[in-house]
Amino acid sequence: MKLSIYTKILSRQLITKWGRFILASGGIMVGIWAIVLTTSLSTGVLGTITTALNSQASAREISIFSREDGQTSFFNPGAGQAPKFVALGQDDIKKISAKDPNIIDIQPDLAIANGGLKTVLDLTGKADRCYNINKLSTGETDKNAQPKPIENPEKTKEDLAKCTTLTFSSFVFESLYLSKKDNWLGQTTKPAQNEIVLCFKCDDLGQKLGYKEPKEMLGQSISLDFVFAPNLYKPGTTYETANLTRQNKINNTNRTAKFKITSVIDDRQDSFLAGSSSYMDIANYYQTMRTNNPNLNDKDFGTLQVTGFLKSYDSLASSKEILANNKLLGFSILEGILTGVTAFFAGLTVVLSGFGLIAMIASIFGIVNVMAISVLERQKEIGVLKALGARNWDIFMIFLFESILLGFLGWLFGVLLAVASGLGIAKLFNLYSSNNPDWQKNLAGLNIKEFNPSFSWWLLLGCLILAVVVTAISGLAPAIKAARQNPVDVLRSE
Amino acid sequence: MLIQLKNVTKTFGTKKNPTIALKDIDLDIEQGSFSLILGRSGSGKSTLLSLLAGLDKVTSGQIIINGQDLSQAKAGKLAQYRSSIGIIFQAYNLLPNLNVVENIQMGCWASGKTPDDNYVNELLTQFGLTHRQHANIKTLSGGEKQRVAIARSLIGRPSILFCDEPTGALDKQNETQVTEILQKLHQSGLTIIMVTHNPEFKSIATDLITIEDGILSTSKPNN
Ligand SMILES: Nc1ncnc2c1ncn2[C@@H]1O[C@H](COP(=O)(O)OP(=O)(O)OP(=O)(O)O)[C@@H](O)[C@H]1O
Ligand SMILES: [Mg+2]
Repeated sequence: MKLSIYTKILSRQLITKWGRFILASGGIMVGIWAIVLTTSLSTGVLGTITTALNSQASAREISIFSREDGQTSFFNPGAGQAPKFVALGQDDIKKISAKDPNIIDIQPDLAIANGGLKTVLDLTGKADRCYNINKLSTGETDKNAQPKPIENPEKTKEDLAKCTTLTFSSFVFESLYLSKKDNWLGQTTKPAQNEIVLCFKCDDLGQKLGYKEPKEMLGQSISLDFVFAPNLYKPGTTYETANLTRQNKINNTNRTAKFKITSVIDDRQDSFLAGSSSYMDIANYYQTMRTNNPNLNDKDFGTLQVTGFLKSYDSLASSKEILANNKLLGFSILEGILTGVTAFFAGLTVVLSGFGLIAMIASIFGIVNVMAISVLERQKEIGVLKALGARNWDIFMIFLFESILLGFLGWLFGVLLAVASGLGIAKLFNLYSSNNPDWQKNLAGLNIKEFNPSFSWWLLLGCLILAVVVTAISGLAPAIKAARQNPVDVLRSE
Repeated sequence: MLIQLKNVTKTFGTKKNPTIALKDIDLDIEQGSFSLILGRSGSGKSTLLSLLAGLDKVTSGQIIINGQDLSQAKAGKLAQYRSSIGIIFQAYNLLPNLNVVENIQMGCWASGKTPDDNYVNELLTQFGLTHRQHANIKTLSGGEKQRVAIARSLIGRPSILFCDEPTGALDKQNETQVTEILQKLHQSGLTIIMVTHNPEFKSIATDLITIEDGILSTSKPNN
């Protein structure tokens, strides 16, 4: 028999017995509904979280170290001792960005603020990055900037309390721009050596300088005193993190430098967690160090930590691998969190989909039953078709197709139900979220306002295959029974 | 010889407690004949017809049709044989989900063949079914149903036509109509083998096959 005849017989059967088809496919429908709904919701939520974390610049920052022992894990398998690091030079930084196209911005990090080790934090407590504001000038009329710079800076905490520090966090430019771009004023590209990006509320800068609106600062100039020089690490030399403060202090006296304010971050609405920061090119550091130590050249400016910024969070693993191949250690603080979140949702999906699978398995009995009834009801039809020359195979296929149709219908209705309920749930969530601004704050500044379920083609296709396979298996025995039926029964009138 | 039966026995039920429907039957049927199978109810007429039409298998013996032994044929060969013959039932056995023309076409479709559209139309016209070709089977009269069934049996251009009491459920007028159709088919050269209680067919038959208690005898109609 030709395929078109199978479908003709099947479609007529569907038209006359549609009620039964719908009832019999109910189990498959519930199963597919549960699987598609839970998977689409959890992938949707996960996708939203990943996107949120991705736009959360810090998720895409990768801290790069070179361990003396060549290991590529941050944690020392030995004991509570901090590992020894080898300082990386300018050439190393260039090499890293050349080898990995996924690292779209990279810069040395002088304070190792991201390391998470106690010794490192002690070191940053000494505030290697304290800048004193001298004055802010418009070029024509100078404003009397507050407060005055301290005269003879000392490297003690008491002195630091007196100086107004500008916070230059470990953000690489791309990272800072991405996380603040909604409130970014002025030039959006990386500032040149004599240019600077300032935040408005951070360090109470705007208020101290007497500005009401961030945009008033744009295009003006600011003079900064470099009070402290950072530790200078010689590229290729090993340093023990425990002793960093005693190593390689270089001579530095105050040096004033003038910057054009090319961009201002309007951070007035920022939550506590979404901290802001000013940004300047690291070359300004080197510049001031070279001024006071003329013997230094670019090659001497090493760093223990390099911060790279990834094109996307997804490329973290591949970037780590490239680094490991070059005996470098790549580390992302958010990696662990995201791995945990992913695992949680994957687990949740498996458990909830499991219920769907159970529903489908239970529906096998129903389908076998319905198909057995169908074979019984159509004994005469089977006999007639056989008397007209149909092969056993044809009869088998007619009934197999019929049970597969049950799977297809169950899948279709299940998917429709899942799409409707998934979109409904998302709509409810999004409505709740938009009416409750507090909720958004609760999400740790991730700024998740809404999510949408994700119905990927592989999920729908996978479920279709599952439904068809389950119903085909269920229909096998009744179809074989039908195929084997003796056609002689047609001769009996009743 | 078109059809040859040698020592054919057919029993139903278990080996220990068998119902013997046909016992050691020998029979020859010639090409172009119009054979009637006669006998009391329960004598085994339908059983014989089902063996000849390849719908059932013999318990022992041989059925040789066109030199091919049906008793040895596998399922696939049997299906092929059934597609080469035509068969008409007392209970019409049309497919209720298909309309008139589709039921006729099913005579070819069932065995994977494509029906000849011209022949379909010819049969519709010949049997007065053209105006009802898209009608639901349930809305047809008994006579119309049987004409559809005859058309279905003819659409594949069969070599033999088997009929099991084709007029058994029809009134006088329709009975006459069907009888005329079958007579014309026979005159055009088709071999017809028919089970019937209707003595009227004796006038148009060439051979009479009578079964009594499972035993068979053949004779010629006395006309
Ligand atoms: N599948 C079966 N199982 C058991 N016995 C059967 C079966 N088919 C037929 N028989 C028996 O075989 C005998 C012949 O039956 P068959 O149907 O051939 O009779 P028939 O001559 O066609 O009768 P009728 O004129 O009433 O149609 C009967 O006794 C019947 O009960
Ligand atoms: Mg009978």
